[in-house]
Amino acid sequence: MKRSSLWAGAALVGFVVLVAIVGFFWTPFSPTSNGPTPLAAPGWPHLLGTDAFGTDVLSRLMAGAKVVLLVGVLSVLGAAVVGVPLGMAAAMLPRWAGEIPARLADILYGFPALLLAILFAAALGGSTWTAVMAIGIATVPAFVRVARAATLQVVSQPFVEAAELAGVSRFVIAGRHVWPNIAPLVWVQASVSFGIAILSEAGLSYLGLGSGPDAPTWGRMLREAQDHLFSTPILALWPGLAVAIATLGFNLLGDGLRDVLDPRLRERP
Amino acid sequence: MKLVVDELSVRFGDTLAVDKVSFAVGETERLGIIGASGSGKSVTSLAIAGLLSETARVSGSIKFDGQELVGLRERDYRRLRGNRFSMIFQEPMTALDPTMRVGLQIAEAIALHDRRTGKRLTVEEELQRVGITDPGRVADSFPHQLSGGQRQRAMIAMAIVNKPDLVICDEPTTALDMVVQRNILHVLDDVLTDRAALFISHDLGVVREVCPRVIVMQEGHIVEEGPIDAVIAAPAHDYTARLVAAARGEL
Repeated sequence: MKRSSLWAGAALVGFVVLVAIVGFFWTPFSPTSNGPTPLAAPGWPHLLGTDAFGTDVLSRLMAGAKVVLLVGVLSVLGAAVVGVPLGMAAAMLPRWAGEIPARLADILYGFPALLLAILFAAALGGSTWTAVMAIGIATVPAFVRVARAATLQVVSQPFVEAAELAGVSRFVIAGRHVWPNIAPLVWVQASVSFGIAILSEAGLSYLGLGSGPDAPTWGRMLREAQDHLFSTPILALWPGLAVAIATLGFNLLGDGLRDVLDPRLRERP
Repeated sequence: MKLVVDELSVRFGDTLAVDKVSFAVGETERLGIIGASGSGKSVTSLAIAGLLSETARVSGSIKFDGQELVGLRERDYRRLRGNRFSMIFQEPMTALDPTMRVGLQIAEAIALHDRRTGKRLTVEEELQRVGITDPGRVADSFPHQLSGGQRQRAMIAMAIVNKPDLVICDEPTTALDMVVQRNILHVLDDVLTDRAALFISHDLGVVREVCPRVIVMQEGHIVEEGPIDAVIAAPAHDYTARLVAAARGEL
């Protein structure tokens, strides 16, 4: 019972990942080409119906899962790779030098991701990469903060002093002693950030700032469904549900990981 | 003299934690520093080890083998630590990295100062030396899989593995129960032979077990200094008298 959110989150995330993997190799119909029966109700052969162009909704959802995971993985991974070392440096450098990345992260934190994406789209044109960059940059401060706070806690522990006393360099201490101790918190943050990234990706492609018109994304599906909201409201349900399931899944997974990986709970023999 | 501390003062902002403290430790001498929490005894030991936070202002002089440690660059300090002097901490749970096997942590200390082969053998030998009967298992364990006594023994093994000249023991038995405490004191007594040692404690009884000479600190000052038996028999200062009275039950 204690780990129910972990298992529920893992199940939802696993489901989304499975759908994305299957969608990568196979979809029931083409997710991009138009079909002869527009706005068909759910049934056979179109299990979730078709959209205004006759494209199979299930196929589009499956292809969209791929895009959403790609954007999520790349932006969160990129943000972690940049943010975690910065946060660790902020905590381990002498005070004046450590303040620089910490305050930069604070400034970036106050800058809305959406605004960032609009700037990027204006400069580079809307694409999957624009979304990855905008979401990634907007996610960096979260990792800087988590890594800094966790590192501050770790370096105040005597074992870091013991390593220093043994003559271990700060660089090696960061890699060998600090990182393994803060990693669990970084994984939790990654999972939570992933949920936010999915939501942001949907938001960006809804606004047309994300992936191009040929790439089926959940956000684009929501936007197209808007035109038929009163005649065929079910068209908005599917992508909305997909975004909700994926976001919920990653948030539950993050919560569950937090409980399992909490070092205070883990230390008890 | 191995270590000569002269008029050492440590200030944190407006607070004077250590006020003009002077003492010396001989080549193979063990000196006890006793005092209550906040007396400045731990700050003194951290100042010697060079582990004070950046906010601390240190003045006076600390000479180790004639080398001045106050104002020493971090790089030069690193060369001394582990090799020439080391430290044993109070709480072995937090003094060992919870994510790293104990044997590897000891090996890390060796690797930095002595790059010879057969490290694994050395680690197990060292563990045996501090009274661990199954060194293989302990070396392969994570800290939380060991008992408090085993952890402290591993910590001691780590501190002496590079054969330092000076070992600073900061309340090494405070977190342990009485029986384990006694065993650890025996181990310390053994491994500190032929070395200089600073033994910091608030427990007069513990200091008496290992140190022939003691200084008593209160509010950053040394209030009394002398052979431990003389200090216990005839405390010259009020505070020492109270400490002795408090410890009387255990002595």
